[in-house]
Amino acid sequence: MFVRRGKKKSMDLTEPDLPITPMLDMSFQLMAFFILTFRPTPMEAQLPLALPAEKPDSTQTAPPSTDLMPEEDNELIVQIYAADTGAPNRIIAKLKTGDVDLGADTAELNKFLKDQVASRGGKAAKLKLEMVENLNYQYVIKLIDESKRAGYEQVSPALIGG
Amino acid sequence: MVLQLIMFFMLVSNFAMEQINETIRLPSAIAAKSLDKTVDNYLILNIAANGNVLLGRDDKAEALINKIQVANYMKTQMNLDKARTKPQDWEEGKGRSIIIIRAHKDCSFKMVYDVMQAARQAGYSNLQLRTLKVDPSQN
Repeated sequence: MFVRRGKKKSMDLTEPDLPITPMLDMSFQLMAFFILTFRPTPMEAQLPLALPAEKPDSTQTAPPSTDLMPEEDNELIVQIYAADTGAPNRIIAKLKTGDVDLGADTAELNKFLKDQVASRGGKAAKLKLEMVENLNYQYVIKLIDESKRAGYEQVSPALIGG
Repeated sequence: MVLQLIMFFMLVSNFAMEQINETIRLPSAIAAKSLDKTVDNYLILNIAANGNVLLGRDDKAEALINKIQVANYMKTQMNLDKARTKPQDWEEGKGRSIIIIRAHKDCSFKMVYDVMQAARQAGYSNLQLRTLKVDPSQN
């Protein structure tokens, strides 16, 4: 086989002049900056909700809303009242058969809602949580949390008398 | 050096884009779900313990201090959503942002409810409440 052989050229290899030391300095400075300023943020999560219904305009004569009527089979209404501290002091479930006082413990609400789901054959109704103005937000989340854990996916917060 | 600087500025600008206010202390929930990273259109509203709605990252952020300001802001955002959505899609109910409420755990329910009402009146229907995820085994 014919192999073509070129002339060997003598090349002068020149070393690239890269200033490695300042680059390393800079890299370490940046790394130190990121390490020192790094603050891990806590893991956030989300609770999806149905937005509360719009308030009807009181100046117009609209047909009476059935929104708050407990007779509606598809919706369970629970009212939560709060002490001056913002903690819940009374939780009342509005049933067709009458009101059920669940005390002030949110765990009782969870138990009650689980019983309601079980009594409906595992199917949860819509849940409307009516709360007073001064209820502390962390308890609002706790109540929604208990409701979701009991199986109620459609939870709608509302204001008592709102 | 240049690449490192570019990377640095990219990271910094990415943080600046976030609307999350670090002064807000969120409540905890066990049933909370992981964040949906696929959501493109969202509007984050940070509600401070005094009820002000903060629109930036820190204490110096622009604040909406009453219901009227919040209502006007929500209407403006809705108009922006409408402007950047094709009319046909808009008619089909698409293009509306998801409202993400990050409220301080010491807020009262009324403060959060007023913001929800303003969002509803502006025409928004999807809402998320941000919480911290709690491991049930720790409870």
